[in-house]
Amino acid sequence: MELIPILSTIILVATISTFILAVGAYILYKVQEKKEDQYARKEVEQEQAELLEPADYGGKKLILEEPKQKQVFVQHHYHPVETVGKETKIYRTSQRKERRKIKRQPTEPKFLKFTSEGYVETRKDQDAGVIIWQ
Amino acid sequence: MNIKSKIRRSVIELTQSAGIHSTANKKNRIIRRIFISGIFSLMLLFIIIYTLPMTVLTVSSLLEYAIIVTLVIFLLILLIRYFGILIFAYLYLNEYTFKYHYNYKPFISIIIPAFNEAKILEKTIESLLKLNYSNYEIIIVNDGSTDETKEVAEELIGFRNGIYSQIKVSLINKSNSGKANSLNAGIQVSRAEFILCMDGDSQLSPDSLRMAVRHFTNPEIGAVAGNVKVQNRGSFLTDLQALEYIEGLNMARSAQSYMKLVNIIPGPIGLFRREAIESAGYYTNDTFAEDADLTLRILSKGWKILYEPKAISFTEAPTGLRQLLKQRYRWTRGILQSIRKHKNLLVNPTINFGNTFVLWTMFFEALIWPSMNIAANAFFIFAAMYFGFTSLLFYWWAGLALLDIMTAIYCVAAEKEEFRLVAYGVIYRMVFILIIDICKAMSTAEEFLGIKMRWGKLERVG
Repeated sequence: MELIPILSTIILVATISTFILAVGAYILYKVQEKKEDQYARKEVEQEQAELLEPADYGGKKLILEEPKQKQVFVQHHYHPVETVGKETKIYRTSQRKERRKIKRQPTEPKFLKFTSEGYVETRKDQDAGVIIWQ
Repeated sequence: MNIKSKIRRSVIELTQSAGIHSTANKKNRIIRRIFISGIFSLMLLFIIIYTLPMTVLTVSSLLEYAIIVTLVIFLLILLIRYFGILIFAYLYLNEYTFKYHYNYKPFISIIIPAFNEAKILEKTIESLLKLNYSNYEIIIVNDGSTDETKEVAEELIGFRNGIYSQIKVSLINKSNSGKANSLNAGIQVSRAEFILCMDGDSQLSPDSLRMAVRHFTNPEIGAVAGNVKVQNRGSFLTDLQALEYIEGLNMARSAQSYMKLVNIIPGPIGLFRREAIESAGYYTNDTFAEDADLTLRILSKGWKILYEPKAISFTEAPTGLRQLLKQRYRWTRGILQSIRKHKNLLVNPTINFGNTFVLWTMFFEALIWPSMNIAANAFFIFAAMYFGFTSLLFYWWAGLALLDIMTAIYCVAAEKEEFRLVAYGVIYRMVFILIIDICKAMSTAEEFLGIKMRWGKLERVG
């Protein structure tokens, strides 16, 4: 006998059994639920409750240093906020860009252009036209 | 270890949300619903009978065509749904991998509503004291338990040693009025800007708070949904549920998170911005899925909701079929009640398009999808028994099983889960999902007919 008809028959029997099981279990659940004691829920708008909390801790509070989390610089679209006690420092993306700009500014010009007056900085010679790099 | 300190007792006034299900005119509503749907069905039947002789179709060929068209549509939707979820989940997890990590430690209140959780409460608190976070407190809300929950909770009050600091554990004793009211009581007592709501029987992974809270640096984020995992694995039913949580729930949440529109913040772990809860109007008692209802209200106020896969809550899944059906019955009816509550957003996308989209996906998952799944299986049984097309059923099963196994491999790999769970993919859809879908269909019918529903309590093993 071929494999597929055998498997098909098994699946057919399993599916029919699942159907019967599911419907039977559901009916059984509903019957048992009716017999069970249910938790009646109160409908209240205002109620009193008792709050139990420890009185303020007298001794020195133990606060250990948490390990610093690894910072991975990748695409990021929010402004990270760092809370130090009650103060909140917000680093804006524009501020970061400015800091990065300052860092990246070279002390000596990197590229020079040769003109009739000798070597000049490319920035100073902007009016002379577009610089073509070869 | 408890740092001995005096316990201060005080009486507090709690303002609670309105009660559930007004019974006024309920019978009339049910009769009206049956009457309207009956008229619509009769009209459809009349149109079919009247127009059929005008076509070349006979009744049997019409049935044949209708079934084939329905199955093709079902298959198409199934593939679009699967690949849509997979692609969006991949995009979210890919983006998530490259996210920024920084130090951000606002004060958080963890609220644990407990009703008859004496067996497991201590274990829950122990897991909370092992959190990798320094700035938080724990508030236990005893919702009028009838077991030893009160005594167990009173033993836990005090300043207890956490990993980085002393953690304040407080207790609210109140009369039994449901989970929603208990959570509201905790929120009212808390003074924190961020609130973590969880279940009394759940345990959090050490990184949960740290990983979830970092998303709030974005002021648009109103809440973060955590990752719920099944704790009591090992049996056939709980293993299947473990796979379902990974493949069915968490993957869908990852996909929704890509759009920042997570539709249900799960009860076992949800971190909220206080402002978002206050603007949404706290938890309410008028549905049986208070978490889904609050999530929809938060979304409707314009807040965004994310999913954090590393904020893990281990929860106890039902071990028996009856308990499982009880849970799913409540979920389905609760979700349908929430959808009905926000029906104006369902039909009017101009109010909040994101919410309309979320509501339609919920409606699809709760009502349309289970009906289609049951109909497809019923059709194949019918075709096999009456026309002898048994091989059709095999190919249908093989196709679905292959799809489920592939998805299970992806999800298990993405969440670094147990690989043995993949094997359950073979019977996942044809057995487990079919049972769940039949339960969903029955619950939907009951909800539609307005049959009275009561709160139940899942039995805990401890």
